[in-house]
Amino acid sequence: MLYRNIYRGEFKFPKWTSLELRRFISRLLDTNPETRITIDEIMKDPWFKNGYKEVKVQPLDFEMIEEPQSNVRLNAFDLISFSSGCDLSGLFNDVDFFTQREQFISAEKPWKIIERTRDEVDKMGNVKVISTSESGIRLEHQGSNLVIAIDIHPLTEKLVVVVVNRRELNAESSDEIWIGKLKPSLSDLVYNSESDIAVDSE
Amino acid sequence: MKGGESVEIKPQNLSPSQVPVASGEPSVANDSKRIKRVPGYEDPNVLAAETPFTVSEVESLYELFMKLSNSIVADGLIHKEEFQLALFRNKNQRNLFADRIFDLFDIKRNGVIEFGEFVRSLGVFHPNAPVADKIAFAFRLYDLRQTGFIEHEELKEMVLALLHESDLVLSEDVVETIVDKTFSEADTQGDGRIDPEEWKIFVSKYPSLIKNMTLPYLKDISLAFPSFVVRTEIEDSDLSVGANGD
Repeated sequence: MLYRNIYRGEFKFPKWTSLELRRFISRLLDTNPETRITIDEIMKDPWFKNGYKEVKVQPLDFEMIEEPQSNVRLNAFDLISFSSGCDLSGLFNDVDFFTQREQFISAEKPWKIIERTRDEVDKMGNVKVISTSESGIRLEHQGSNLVIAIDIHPLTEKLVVVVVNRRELNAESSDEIWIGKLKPSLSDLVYNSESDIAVDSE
Repeated sequence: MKGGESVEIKPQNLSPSQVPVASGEPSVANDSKRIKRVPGYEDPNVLAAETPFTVSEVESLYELFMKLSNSIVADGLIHKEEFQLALFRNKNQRNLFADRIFDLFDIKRNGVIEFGEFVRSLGVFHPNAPVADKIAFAFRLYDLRQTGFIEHEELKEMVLALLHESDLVLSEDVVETIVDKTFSEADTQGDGRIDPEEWKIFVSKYPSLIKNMTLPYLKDISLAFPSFVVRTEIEDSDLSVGANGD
């Protein structure tokens, strides 16, 4: 019944509503899409503007998540927390942003990993480096809102864990860029435990 | 309508069992078309009072809950497969930690997560939830066999599970070393197991250990899931001239 009334443009206002509010609501419920109020007009409407505070909704920023300190070695519980089974943010995927995390182990030094990433990204052309630090690098895809955050954490004297977080609006572009291009180009950085014996004897 | 019913607007196409009945009776009828009496349903006001969520956030969680709980079996309850589907996009994906979390959410231990359980458990993950609750939840999560302690074998088992799940490869030696080092640092009493007190102290040294216990997204949940439950009471006599002049 409610929806039928809206569809027909039939409604009544409670007595306590002001004239501006009634005008505003009428413009919102205008059954003619051509003359119905637009978002820009909403922002300019006198009733709406009164007391309006702009709220900036930050999409989930990687900085908000407290990462392990970058100079402290990961302990066993840190490792465990990388499990996607521990990460309930997956319950909210598909809503606004889609995030995915994966990690690999490397025997390379952090600066080397960052430098190699930068090189590969420069080759790709459509991905840009937003920022770097001692222990990480952030990338952005020109053309979608894909952001890739790479953070490097020491694990043992020789090894580090490289954590790759992706955040995007649709899953396709990130798969193509990360899984299709960037990840394979960095595959030589991944630690191979069979070759450990050779490394140790150096 | 008197008697504490919160919604006035009555869509005409409700089935008879859903039409609000006269007040005074414990009614089977729902308050609105959207909130049905599925088993385990609890009043949003009660849930809001007992968790860090506001009433409108609980209502938004209801939207999310309905989406998750009807994804495979349309019964308004979250089954293990639906939980796995939500987390891994694969309903058959088994995961040690997801299993633990599912069990912890399933407070009644009846094999499904009901709405009330869902909200109360998610409450621990709210940014405003007490840190002590998060620390306790993490401890229970890692106490695989629910002995009240985190044993050395359990820690090793969890690390191996993580490695297996993420295709990470570490030699047996390296795994042992890492587990031993962590364990001896946490197990200050040296009795071979980590008790809740030792865990608390350990977490205070390494706060990022409970980072998975906070979902910043929960603070904005009502923006993501605006709920359409109408809550004002309006009598017809309060209404005045409408838009069409009638």
